[in-house]
Amino acid sequence: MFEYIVIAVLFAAACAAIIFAVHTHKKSGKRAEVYDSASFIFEAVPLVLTLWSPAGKIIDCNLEAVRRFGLSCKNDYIERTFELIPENQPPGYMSIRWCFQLLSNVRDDRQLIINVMHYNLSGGQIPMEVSFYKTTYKGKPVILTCASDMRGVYESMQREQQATERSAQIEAHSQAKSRFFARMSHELRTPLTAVHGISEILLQRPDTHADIEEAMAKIHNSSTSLIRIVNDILDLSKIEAGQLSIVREVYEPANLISDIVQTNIILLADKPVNFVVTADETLPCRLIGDEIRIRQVIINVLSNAFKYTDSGEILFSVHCFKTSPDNVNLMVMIKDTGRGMNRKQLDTLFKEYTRFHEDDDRFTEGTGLGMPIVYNLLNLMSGDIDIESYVGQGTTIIINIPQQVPDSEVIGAETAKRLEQFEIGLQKKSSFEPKPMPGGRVLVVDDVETNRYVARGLLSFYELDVETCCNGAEAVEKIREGNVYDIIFMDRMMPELNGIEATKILRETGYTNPIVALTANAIKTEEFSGFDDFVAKPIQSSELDAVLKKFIKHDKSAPEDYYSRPEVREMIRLDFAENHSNAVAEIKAALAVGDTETAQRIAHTVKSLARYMKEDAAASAAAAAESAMLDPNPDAAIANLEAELKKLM
Amino acid sequence: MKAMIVEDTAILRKIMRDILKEFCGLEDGNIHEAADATKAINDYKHTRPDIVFLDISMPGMNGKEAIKHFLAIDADAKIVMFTGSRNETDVKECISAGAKDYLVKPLSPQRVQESVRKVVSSDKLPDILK
Repeated sequence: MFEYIVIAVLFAAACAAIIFAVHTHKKSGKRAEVYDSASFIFEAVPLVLTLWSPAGKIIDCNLEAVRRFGLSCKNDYIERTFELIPENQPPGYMSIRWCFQLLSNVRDDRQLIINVMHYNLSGGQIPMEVSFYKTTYKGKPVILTCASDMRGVYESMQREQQATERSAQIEAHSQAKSRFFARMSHELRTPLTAVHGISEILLQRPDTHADIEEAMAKIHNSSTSLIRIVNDILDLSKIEAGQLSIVREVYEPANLISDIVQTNIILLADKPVNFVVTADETLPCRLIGDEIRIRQVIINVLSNAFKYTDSGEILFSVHCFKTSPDNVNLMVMIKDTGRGMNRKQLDTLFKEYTRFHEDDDRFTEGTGLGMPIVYNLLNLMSGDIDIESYVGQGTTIIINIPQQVPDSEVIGAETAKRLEQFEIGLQKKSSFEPKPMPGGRVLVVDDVETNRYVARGLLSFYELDVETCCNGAEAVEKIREGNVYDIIFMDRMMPELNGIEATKILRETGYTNPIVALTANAIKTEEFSGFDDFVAKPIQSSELDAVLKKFIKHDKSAPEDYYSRPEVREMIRLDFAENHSNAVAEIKAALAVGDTETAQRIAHTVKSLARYMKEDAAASAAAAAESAMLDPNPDAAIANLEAELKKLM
Repeated sequence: MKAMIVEDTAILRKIMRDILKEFCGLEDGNIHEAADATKAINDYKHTRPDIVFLDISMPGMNGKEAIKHFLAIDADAKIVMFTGSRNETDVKECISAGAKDYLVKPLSPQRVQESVRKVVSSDKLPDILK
């Protein structure tokens, strides 16, 4: 733009000077002097000036014209004028002849500005803006032209226009992208939740065939990572669109640590990595901040540590420092002995979608969305992140987030110790035999999916009827519908309606059955009212066993007693011998005519009767046969059932 | 109080009858049995039981399908499902179709009692359950 203005000013100044000179010359009569000054200006300006007769015959040119076109002298220019300005002009430009025709209609002392394409001797185009000025010189009408090379101007104008278009395009594109991601992520979540939920239910079913279970586990794991990616994309697009806001509420840091540990422990898999958790015993019981976003930040960083550490140790430590009576700095340190990052990787760590462009780091899956989210969330929470990393040695990340404290209570040594001695929920088989409690009915209320999953897993050994829901409001609704449970396991901190409030409502409405608090903190006595007991999180199977034994009373396992009665056993056995001894033959006959449904139904009946008779081997053989009916070759399963039933008879 | 048992396996009908007699104080005459859903729906019109125990999985019309037929005859029908597994989806579908409760096999007498108490209006409950 600047260039354009300079040239325009120069051009205008030159025209004015020449016009002035010619005019003065005409009026003053001081010929020689004025002519000298006019010719001086004529030669001095850095513009191509020519003098023409009104008929279109060139009379003179200045030295700039000779120089610009690389000619030897003025005569050379005059002779080759129409080589330099051919009559045949490209679109948008006008030939000299046309210009003169136009000029014939223009009054004296007026100028006309027209684009005329010039060519240099090697044929290269020089677009020029030519000002034609009609005047008289030495008593004769003449036309003075002043041509300026517009290439620089055009180029800069073009560059500017392109830049404007490009930035508008980029802006529009970025907005469209954010909107698209937000919409797609939302649309993707619904079907994904279904895939995730159904695979989980099938995994939970005791009668799921081993092959199917393995496939379901894979589907379940895949959908879990897909949901995480979709959530990341949604979050990042929300952050970009400025739609993500921080919600500050009271939360329990101990609970947060426990949830994070439970969620991440699965990532350990079979790696020879030691996962060490340390929590400061002076950590406040309650903090005010956005628990969900803090959890997201920590889980993102921690999952990277798990992802990139193949051996050694991962340290997850949480501390709190008072900055004022009501404010603390929540400090989380995550230190691993993993691959580490080089300077280049560190520099691009927080840039969006870095991973998409990295060809040299394809061996680990990931979207590269995690760290930009961490960075943006920390910004929104006025927190900061500090990274120290060495290739081959590991990475240390320290996160600081300012939080408020509502009171001065701290978690204490006992809770801190329990957090540090977490148990790997599902992976470690308990050392004692859980006693089945069929008929017992349990409700688990927890907002964290992984916690519900772990609770279900641990309860699955007891043959209980387990239901789950996500918050206090749903639990209250279940009781209102008339459901009665032997135990309600109630998480304390939950969205919608927390466990303490829900329990209060349940007690007020006359619900008297046991309610057991799930908590990461030791419970204060006043909060304990309404609860019958508590189980510390992460749930330890031994503690859970004790609570189940305490509250699921002996008479709850009465079906066992009922079906142990000699007369009932005898009745079922007789019926079985009478009506179902041919079960295997009937299954084979049904399969022979392709009636899988009937074959399955017979196996199903055998299964449930075997359960009544407490014949577990026969029951599982029947269950296996039932699901094997859909296999191309169910013979082995059927043969096994036949063998088991023979034993029974 | 009158009850109806809809279950294709004879011995399971017998067990349920025994449980209802012993643990819920019902008399033999007030317990009606049906081996398939179609018969049960037909019988419902004249027996008008206070509670229907309905097996989810049966040959012919299954339990889930039968719920709407019962409710078409009597919008106030009290249906309790029998289910062989702890599969929550099946159960949830039945509950949203209008069933009031469910019992997981093997049937526990205590759960049957709880279910009867929950579903049947208190004025019709046998003394033993009050």
